[in-house]
Amino acid sequence: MAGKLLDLTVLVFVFAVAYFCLRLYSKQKLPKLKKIPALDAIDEAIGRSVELGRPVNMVPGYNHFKTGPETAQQLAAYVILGYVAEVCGKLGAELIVSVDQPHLLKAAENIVREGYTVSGNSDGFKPENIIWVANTQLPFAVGTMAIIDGRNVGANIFAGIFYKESLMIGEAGSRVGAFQISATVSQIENFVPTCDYVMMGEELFAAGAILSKSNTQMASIVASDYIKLSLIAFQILSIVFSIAKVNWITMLANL
Amino acid sequence: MSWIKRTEITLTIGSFAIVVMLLSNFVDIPVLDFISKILPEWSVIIASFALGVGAISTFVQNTDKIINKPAERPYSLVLIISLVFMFIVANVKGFEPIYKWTVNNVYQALTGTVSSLLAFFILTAAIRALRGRNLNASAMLVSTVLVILGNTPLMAGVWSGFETIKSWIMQVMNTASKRGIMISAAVGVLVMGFRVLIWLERGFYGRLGEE
Repeated sequence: MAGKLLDLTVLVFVFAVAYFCLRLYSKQKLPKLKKIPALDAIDEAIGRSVELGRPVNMVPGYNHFKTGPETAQQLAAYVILGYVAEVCGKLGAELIVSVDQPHLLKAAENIVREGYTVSGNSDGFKPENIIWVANTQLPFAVGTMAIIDGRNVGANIFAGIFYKESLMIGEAGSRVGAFQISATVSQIENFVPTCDYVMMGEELFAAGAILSKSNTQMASIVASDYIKLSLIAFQILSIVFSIAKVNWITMLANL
Repeated sequence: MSWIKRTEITLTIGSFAIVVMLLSNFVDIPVLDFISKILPEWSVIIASFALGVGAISTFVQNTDKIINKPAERPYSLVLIISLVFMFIVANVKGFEPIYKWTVNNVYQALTGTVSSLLAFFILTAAIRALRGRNLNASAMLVSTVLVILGNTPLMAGVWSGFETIKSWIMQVMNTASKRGIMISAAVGVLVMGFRVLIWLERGFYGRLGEE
């Protein structure tokens, strides 16, 4: 475990703050949290599609068998997919899901079916709308563009991890006049020109908690804010110690 | 509900995987090391088998389109024929030269063609995005123009300051904001991992999993 004590300390600190906030805010009122306009816009986008009689397309990322932080983004994207499916069921919208990995085809189908069931519109679910496009990047981009163009979608929701295909898919949506919302950590610069609303970075992970409307889950967002404040304090201390030529960071990292 | 479909089993497996992968990073126990190495391999094996599921799904969906949707018939026909053709040449002995030729001369060429479309998409996206509607958009417009000027060799000949400004924007402003986003995303990943570990986050099992 040489050199890992700092990692372990940070991990324990993060978990401890998260647990503390969950216990604290399950009993008392949450502080006021900033609204994320992109999340509120999901309902608006789906409603607009229903009015126009056009389907909604959701792309839960392109991951291509990667592990690590990218998987967390993919998980967060599927949480948003569940919410989108529920809203589509409630409003009677047709939902198309463009999936990049075949082993996620059944998972996406399950999540969308349950979303429609929970909304009381299980007849609205169409399994043929859960489409495995391709598991390589450019065929995935072209296939998704074909879906957006061919089905004339009214709204596009992008969530998860993307690469250069994000620009192509976003442009295809802009061409058909779709209402576009994205939630991603990477490729934000590709989504900003093409999307009406963009959720950046941590907002993707917070989305799951906010959409659940559960106090306990939203307490974890407060926890992450406290952790970020601690990181800022840590960085200020580091700057002060660097100026004083005290090399404590290297000492800690080597423990 | 059938016991095998119970959400608790899936959540337990998920939590077990998280605990094993975390502990194996900090503690030297041979069993943990072994499990932490084998779990990612299993996921790749499952994903590979799932390719078969995906291929069958693609075959069924496109066959349906050939029968019921005349407008999409030609594209679905090309896809089905290509699918069957590549399956045969990739798996039957003696067809390796055909497989290699198809990949090198058809697939790679098509990939290059699609990649080249990116240049046009960047242009159209830039035309749409770079308008000084408000303060933020104007700031983006000014910084984009400065970076473009700094990247153009001709403009570097006119004034060397463009290169300096571009480097400062990319190395200081751009890197700082990207790092800020990555750090906050990393915190979000950790907190989300904690929510999954204690069964608080169940949204990716479906809405019924949240009940």
